[in-house]
Amino acid sequence: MKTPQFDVSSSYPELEPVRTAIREFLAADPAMKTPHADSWSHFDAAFSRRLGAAGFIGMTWPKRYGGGERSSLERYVVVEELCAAGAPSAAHWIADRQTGPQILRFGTEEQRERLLPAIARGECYCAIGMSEPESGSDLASVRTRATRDGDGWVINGRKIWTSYAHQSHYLLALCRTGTGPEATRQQGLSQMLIPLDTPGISLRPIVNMAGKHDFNEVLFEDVHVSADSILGQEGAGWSQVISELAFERSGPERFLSSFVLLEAFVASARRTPSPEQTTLIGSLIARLVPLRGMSMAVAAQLGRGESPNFEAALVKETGSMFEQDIGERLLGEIAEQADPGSTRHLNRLFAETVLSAPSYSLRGGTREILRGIIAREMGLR
Amino acid sequence: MNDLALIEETARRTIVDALTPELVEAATRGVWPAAVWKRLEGQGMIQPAALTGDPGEAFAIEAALLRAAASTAAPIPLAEMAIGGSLLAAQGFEPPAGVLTLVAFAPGEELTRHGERVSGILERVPWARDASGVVAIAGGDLVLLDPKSGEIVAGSNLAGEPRDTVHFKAVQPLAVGGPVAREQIFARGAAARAVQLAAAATRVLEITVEYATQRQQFGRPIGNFQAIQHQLAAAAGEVASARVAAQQAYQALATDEGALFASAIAKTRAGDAAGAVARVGHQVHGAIGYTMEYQLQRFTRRIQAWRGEFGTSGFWTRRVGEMVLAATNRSAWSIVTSGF
Repeated sequence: MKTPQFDVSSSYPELEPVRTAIREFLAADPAMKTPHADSWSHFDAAFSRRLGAAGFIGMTWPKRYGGGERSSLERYVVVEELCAAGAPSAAHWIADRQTGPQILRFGTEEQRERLLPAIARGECYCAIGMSEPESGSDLASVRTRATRDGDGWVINGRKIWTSYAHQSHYLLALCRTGTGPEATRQQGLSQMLIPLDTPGISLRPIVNMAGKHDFNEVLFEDVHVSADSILGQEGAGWSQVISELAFERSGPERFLSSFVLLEAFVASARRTPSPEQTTLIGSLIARLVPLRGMSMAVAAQLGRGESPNFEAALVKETGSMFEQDIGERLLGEIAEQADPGSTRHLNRLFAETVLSAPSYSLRGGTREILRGIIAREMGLR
Repeated sequence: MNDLALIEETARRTIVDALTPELVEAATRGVWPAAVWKRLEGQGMIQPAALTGDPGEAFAIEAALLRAAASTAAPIPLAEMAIGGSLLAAQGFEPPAGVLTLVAFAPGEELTRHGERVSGILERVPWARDASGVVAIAGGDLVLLDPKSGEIVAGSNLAGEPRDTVHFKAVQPLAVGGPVAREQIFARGAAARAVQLAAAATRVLEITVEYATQRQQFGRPIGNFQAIQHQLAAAAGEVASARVAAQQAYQALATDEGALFASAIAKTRAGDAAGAVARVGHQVHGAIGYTMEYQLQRFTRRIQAWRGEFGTSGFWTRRVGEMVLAATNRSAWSIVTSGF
C-alpha cells in the first residue's frame, strides 16, 4: 500500500510578514464587523475589490498579469486567514482559486491579458460550470453541447448548482464538443469560458436551505460565443477539469468553513468554562492542528509542481468531517440558541454553521467520491 | 532515501530479522527478547542521542526508531530507554549498562525520600523485571533506581508486555539528581506513545488493505466492495492525521517550542485515530484477525494498551482545552497558527 506523504514543517518564518499584513487588513476592514460562517459563500463585491487593491488576489500569478509573484504558501496564509476570520470572500473566490489558475495554465496570451488583471483587482468574478441536472458526481456524463458555428460556437444545454452565476461575469463550463462517436465519455469534452451576459443565457435561482440565493440553474439556448471562448485545447476538457478540481480539494476552506463559530464559542466559554466545554474545545482543537498541518504540506507540494492527489483527497475527507463536527458537537453540548437573525455573533454563527454544514461534504466532490479516490490510491480499485 | 528513512528502514530490518516467531510467542508470556535487543544495541540504535551530536536531530532519530519498533510490534522498551537516557544525560548521569526503563511521570506518581533513602510503589513499570535501572521521581527530584533493590510484582499490558509493580522500602538509589519538570516528561512520553500509535495504526491499515485485495468472497476481492473501501478510506484519514500530529509533536520537541501543547494534541489524536483504525482492521479481516496466530493482534493489542499509557486521550483532550481557554489574551486561531 502506498503511504500518504505529509512533509510537515513546524514553522514558516518567511510567512509571518504576509500573515501580519492580512491580519492588519482584516482588522481595519468594515466588512469584518459581521464575520460569517462558511464565509467563502458570502458574496461582497466591495470587500473583494478592497482585497484585490491590497494585493491579496492572484497572489502567485506573474506580475505582468496583475499578480504578486508570491509563493503558494503565502497565498495559503491569506486564504486561511480569510476563512478563520469569517471574511465574505465568495465574489472573488472561484476566480482566484481555480478559474484564474486554469486561464494561466491553459489560456491564450490574449485571454490571460484580458481576464487575469481584472480578476486580481477583485473586479471580475467567475462561476463553475460542471454539474448538470443529470450529471452530479458522474461528471463525465455532461450533455451541454458546444457546436462550431462559423468562427465561433453555439451552446445549448443546462448547468446547475452554479454558485453566484447571477453575480459573476464568466462561467467556465465543461461542454461536449466532439462530433464523432467517441471511444469513452471522457473524450470530446472542452472547457468554454462563457460571458454570463451573452444573449440566450437565462438563470433560474435556487434558494438553499439557509434561505440564501447562492445556487442557480443556468440555461443555454442557442448561445453564440466567439472562437476565443474555448479555454485550452479542444477535446482536452476532461484532463483540464481534473486539473481544475485539484485546486478545490485541499485548501483551508475544506476544514475552516465553521471555524469562526468555534472561535466565538471559545470566547464565550472563557468566562466560566464547564468541564464539558473544556473537553469539547480540546477535542476540536486537537483535530484541527494536525489537519492544518496536512493541508499546508499539500499546499507546499502543489507549490513544487507535484500532484499529491492521495494527500489532497485525505485532507478533504477528514476536513469536511471536522468542519461539520463543529456545529454537530455544539448542537449536542450547549444550550445556546442558534438564530440566523440574532445580533449576538455566537447565536448567528451557530445558525449559519448548522444551516450550511450539509453542503461541506457535497461540494468539490462528495464524501463518497473522495473515499473512492482514496480507495483507488490505496490500490483497492 | 534520506538519512532518517535509512535509519528507520535499517532498524526495521534488524528487528524483523531478529524477532523470530518463537521470540514473538515467548514475549507474550513475558520472556525478554534478548536477541532483538542485542542486535539493536550492537548497531547503536538504542540511544538516539548517541547517533548524533545535534539535540534537535536526536529527536528525529528517536521518532524514526520508535516507528521502526512499533511497525514491527517489537516487544522492547525503546521509548522508555530513549527518554530515560536523555533525562539522565541532562543531569550529567551515564545510563546504567543493560535495559533502562522509566515511570510515566503521571500526576501524583511519586516516591518519598528520607535523606538518601527512597520508599514507595511504582506501578506498571515497563519491563521492570528485565531492567537494570528505572528512572523515577522522588521528593521532586529525578532518581535512578535498581528495580531489583525493590520487590517486583509481575503484571502485563493488553499486549502481554511486562508492566510490573515495584515496592521500594528505604532503598539506596543508583543516582539522585535535581528537580525535574514532571508534566513535560509526562508529555514527552505521550509524544513517544503517539509516534508508536501512529506507526502501529499505519501497519494495521497496510495489513488490512493487503488482506482486502487478496481475500476473495462472492467471486471477487472483498476490497472491491464499496462498504469495505469506504471504511478503509476513513481509516486512511485517521492514519494521516495521527502521523502528522505525532510528527508535529516531535518537531516541537526538537525546537523546544510548544512541546507540551503539541504532545497533548498528538496523544489525543493518535490515540483516538489508532483506536478507530484497529476497529476497521478487525472488521475487514473477519474471524482470522481475531486469532492469536494471525499478526493483526500484535498491533491492535498494543494500540489498545498504549492508548491508556502516558495519559489517555480524554486526559490530554481536557489539557488542550484548558490551555486554549486559559490563554485569555489570545484568539483560538492564533493558538492554532502559532502554538504556545
